[in-house]
Amino acid sequence: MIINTVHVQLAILRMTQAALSELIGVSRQSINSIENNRYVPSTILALKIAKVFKVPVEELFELEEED
Amino acid sequence: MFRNYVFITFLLSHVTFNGNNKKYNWRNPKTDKGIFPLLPHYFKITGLVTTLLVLITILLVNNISAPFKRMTLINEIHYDSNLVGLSLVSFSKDKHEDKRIANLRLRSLSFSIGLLILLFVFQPLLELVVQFFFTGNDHEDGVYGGFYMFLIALFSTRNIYFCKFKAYL
Repeated sequence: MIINTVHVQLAILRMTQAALSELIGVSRQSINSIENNRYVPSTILALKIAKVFKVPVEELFELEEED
Repeated sequence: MFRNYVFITFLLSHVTFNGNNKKYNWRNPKTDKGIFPLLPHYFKITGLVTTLLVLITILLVNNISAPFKRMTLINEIHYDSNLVGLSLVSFSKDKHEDKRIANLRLRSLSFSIGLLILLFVFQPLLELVVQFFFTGNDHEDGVYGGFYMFLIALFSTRNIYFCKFKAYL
């Protein structure tokens, strides 16, 4: 799995999961699953999230050490 | 018996075959119908209500009214209508269709196929267990009782698996 900082970015922008999901066009549950490391997003979704937060993808998602 | 299992597994696995071409893309749910289009979201409620009603009527017919017990045709009809109700639930859309839910459907399909194989292999043993629990005079009664037992079990496991992803909301 990958380490993510989605919850940090959401807190910085004071954004809810629902608002983010509406911007990207996925379900709220998807965002929640990504945050809790239960689902690895596709490249398209990762890029979309990065675009919303205006940060590079590497800042949002990182590989774990064992990978 | 095997026919029943095939039916259940394919009904309970929420399968869609999403074509990944430019015209029908999963990213746009309005244009994406897939190869096998799903029913609208409200069919979930309709399906659940019909399933519950049919289950209640079956229980009533089997346990309370003895004269109906002889009429196997009625039982057959009820059994089939239950499949219709479950299929309505299975093949209806989620509120938001995205890639996560497609992934979930695929995983549940693999799960149900595994269960199908297990059930098929241990079918004789299961029938023995079922006859122990359902003390009907007919052999057929026991089989159908067991069928409903496993139907409920399968349905609940599917939902537990589904809810694992919705637990932290």
